[in-house]
Amino acid sequence: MGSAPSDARGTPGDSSLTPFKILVAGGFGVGKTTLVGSISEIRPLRTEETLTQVGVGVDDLSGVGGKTTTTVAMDFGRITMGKRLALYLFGTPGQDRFWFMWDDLAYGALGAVILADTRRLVDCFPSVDYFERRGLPFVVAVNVFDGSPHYDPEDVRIALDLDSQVPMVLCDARVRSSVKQVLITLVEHVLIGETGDVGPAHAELSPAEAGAEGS
Amino acid sequence: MAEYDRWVDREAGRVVRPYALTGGRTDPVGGTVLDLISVIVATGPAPSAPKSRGLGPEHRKLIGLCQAPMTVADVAADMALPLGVVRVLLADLVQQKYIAVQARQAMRAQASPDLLREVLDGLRSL
Repeated sequence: MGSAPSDARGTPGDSSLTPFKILVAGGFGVGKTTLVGSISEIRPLRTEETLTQVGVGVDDLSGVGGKTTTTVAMDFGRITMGKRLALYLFGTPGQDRFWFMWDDLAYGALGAVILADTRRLVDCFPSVDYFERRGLPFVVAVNVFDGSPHYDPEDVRIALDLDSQVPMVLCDARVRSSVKQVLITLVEHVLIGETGDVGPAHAELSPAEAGAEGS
Repeated sequence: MAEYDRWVDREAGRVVRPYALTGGRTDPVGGTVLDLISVIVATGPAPSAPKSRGLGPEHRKLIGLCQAPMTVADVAADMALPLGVVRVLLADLVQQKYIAVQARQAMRAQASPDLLREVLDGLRSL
């Protein structure tokens, strides 16, 4: 590449766009797409992944010997603020087999929302582990909708073994004002972490995790 | 921006295998993988076909899309092409200086408290 693009190229303050990225994670079918769609215009983003990574043991290749890639659909939404700020919400693929895509999504992200369904709380564990290891600030939003059992948020915190600094909110992913509050909570949490009022939320890993990660 | 339907039809499946558009290449030239929200912008108008040897119709369409600053994710969604394909095509255009990377995404590490407060104000006023 001839000239490496530098961050200084786009001068802040002119018409340049400053985009931020927030991930929306959680188990398959928990309402990530609903959440993104409640507050932004949702757009489909497709990726083409090689089957060696994605399809092991899943995609039946018999009869399609030439097929080496498969399409993974993700959703994202954009919230434009004024002329230069834009918040991008990316729903992470919920299935385990798309795990490898998370690094790409998480790179440089401002933070993450983990959407939790109390009926399937266990689905959140991988997301919690992932963001804790990466040191990415996150909030847990318990999606409360009709028919879901009501739990005390503190019980959910204990069940997920969350650090006491991790904000936890109840939300209805279908309701714009509720989703807005989730995002506000996240950005406040990031801000507190950055300004040092409260230490970084995930600077410390539990000994077990630190040992397992070795980094 | 609706003519992409001739390439991709959700019901019938794709007519052209996606990486056929890149000549089978799956890695961006120069090894630079653009982030999903890197902001890119065309350095000029899309060249006419005779003047742009080596550029395919998708390359020219990308230049047309990027007349105003766009993020890679928005470009990929507009093109209705897989992200990996768009990244390869964009890298070609960056190398040939048809497209400039205006700004890498605002990394969390670079997000000043002032900028974060601006985001917060923006969210509150939604």
